[in-house]
Amino acid sequence: MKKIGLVLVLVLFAQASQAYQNYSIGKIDVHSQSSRTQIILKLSQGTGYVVKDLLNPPRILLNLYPANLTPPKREVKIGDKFVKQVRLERDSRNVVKVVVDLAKDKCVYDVFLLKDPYRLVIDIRKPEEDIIAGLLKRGTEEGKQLPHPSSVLPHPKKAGIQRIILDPGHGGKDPGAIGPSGLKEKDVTLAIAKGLSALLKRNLGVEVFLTREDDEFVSLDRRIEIANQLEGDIFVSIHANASWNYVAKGTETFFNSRYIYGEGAREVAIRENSVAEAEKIPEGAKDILLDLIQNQYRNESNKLAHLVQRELCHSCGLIDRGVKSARFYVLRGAKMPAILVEVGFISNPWEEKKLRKNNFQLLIAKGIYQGLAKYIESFNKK
Amino acid sequence: MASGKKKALVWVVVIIVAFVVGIFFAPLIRERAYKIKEWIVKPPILAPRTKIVKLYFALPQGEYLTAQQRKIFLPRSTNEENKEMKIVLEELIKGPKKNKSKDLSLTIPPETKIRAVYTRDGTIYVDFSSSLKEKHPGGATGELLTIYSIVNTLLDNFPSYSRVQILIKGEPQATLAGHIDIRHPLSRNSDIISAHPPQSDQEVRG
Repeated sequence: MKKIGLVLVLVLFAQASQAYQNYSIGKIDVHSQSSRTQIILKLSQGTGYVVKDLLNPPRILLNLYPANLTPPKREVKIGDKFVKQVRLERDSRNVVKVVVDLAKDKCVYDVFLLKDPYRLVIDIRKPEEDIIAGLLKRGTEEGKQLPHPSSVLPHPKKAGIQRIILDPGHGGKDPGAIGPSGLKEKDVTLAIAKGLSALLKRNLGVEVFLTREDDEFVSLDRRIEIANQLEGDIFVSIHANASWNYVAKGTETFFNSRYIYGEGAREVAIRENSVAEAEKIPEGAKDILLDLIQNQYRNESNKLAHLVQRELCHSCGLIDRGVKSARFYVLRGAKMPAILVEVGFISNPWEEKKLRKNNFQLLIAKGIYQGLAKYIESFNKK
Repeated sequence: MASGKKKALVWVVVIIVAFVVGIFFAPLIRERAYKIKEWIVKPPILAPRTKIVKLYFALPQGEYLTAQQRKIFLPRSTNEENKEMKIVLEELIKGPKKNKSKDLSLTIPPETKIRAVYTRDGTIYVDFSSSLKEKHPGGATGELLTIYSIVNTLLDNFPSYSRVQILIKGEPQATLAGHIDIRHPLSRNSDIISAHPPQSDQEVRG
């Protein structure tokens, strides 16, 4: 009798836990503040999610998997500074679509999953303004007197290239790639960026901002945010490469493209030329115009990448691996010509040895500087 | 007479007990019988299924991937595509066969485990253990090789799918090591496949 009781309890427990395991979305909490809105979805289990942001009207789209929703549709009206409403809908088996309708399009958002209890947090805020103030403050610490942020911004609308954003890769808790004898990518990139910054300021008289000035962790999103808020004219991300085989060596420069790699880079160049010809499009074709703006950056990035790659290889003498394109996270969001330089392979013992030396770091900075100078010169001639 | 009555009562009890036991055990016996029937009807041993798969590994300079063909064994019970994908990926993680092509290198940290594979709307979702990120050597080149050896291997062996979404512990990632955007599903990349792989009969063109 006891045993039967035990079996019954086990069966009931199994069923109850199964019911619990149906990944249902529970209560939706909204925290409205003047600076941000947080939407918190209570979950019975962890879930995977894919986030997309869309325009016209501005909204954030999330697909949760696995997740369930009963009843299959839910809507929460918010109507605060940032969010109009949240709509949830069961899309298909174990997939729930979440749409956050935004009140304005200039918002920054984060989505993250928290545990104990499981909850998905959608955090929407206005782009941080204090970043610029912070950067300018750092500028004064360097000894250079900079005027108050409000007088620096908006960006002077003079023609030509005024402001360059340098992005030393990795930093802080993220060391980047580590060489066979222990050299850290984050230290190399920062040293090169500082050398390059000094050269640019001294010889070209342009404004230069670094996305980090110390060994600190800065997220990729924040790097993009800094570049876009400062309305830079050029974005240069500096990295050291690594691969699976220690023999891999050489310098390469990337620009962002949905076409990937060398062949793709050529394809993009061809395609962009044809787009340039198509500039006499009839009025009203706004979609095409938007495409043209994007392509404009891509075309310029491609050109910048080629100039920097050529000068850099010339200056530091490492093997030329060429210009390539790929979907780089940090380049994708930049609203300016943007490149990512992989100066050499830290995973290659010989190149690591070179990258450790101050002289060689300076040679690299000089090479990138010369590439940038050529680009600026040709740009200003236009 | 009394002993006769007693005997009859014992028999009645025995019959009732047998009846009750019968009710409990009949399904079991029936199941056993079905199984016996299955053993008789089905051939006792089936050869394990084999499949020749294309696995992408990196050339020494890391600029390109090249495919290596390998015969893999699939357990006979494996008829689900998801399980097959998992086995192919596990084979990819094992790395290239050294004696056959000494120059190729693996592209995924060997400690990496496949937590799950599922498919939806032409996209393959692969959920890796955190080693894929934590044990990654870094570098844009290293990252491109890892990402596209996974994507190209899956899409070449399962051509009815067009995109691959990489997940780690169930969640999409921004990047593996700080460079390439992997938030969204990725399509096959043919530019990263070498047009001139080292020639030997073990290699095939991508």
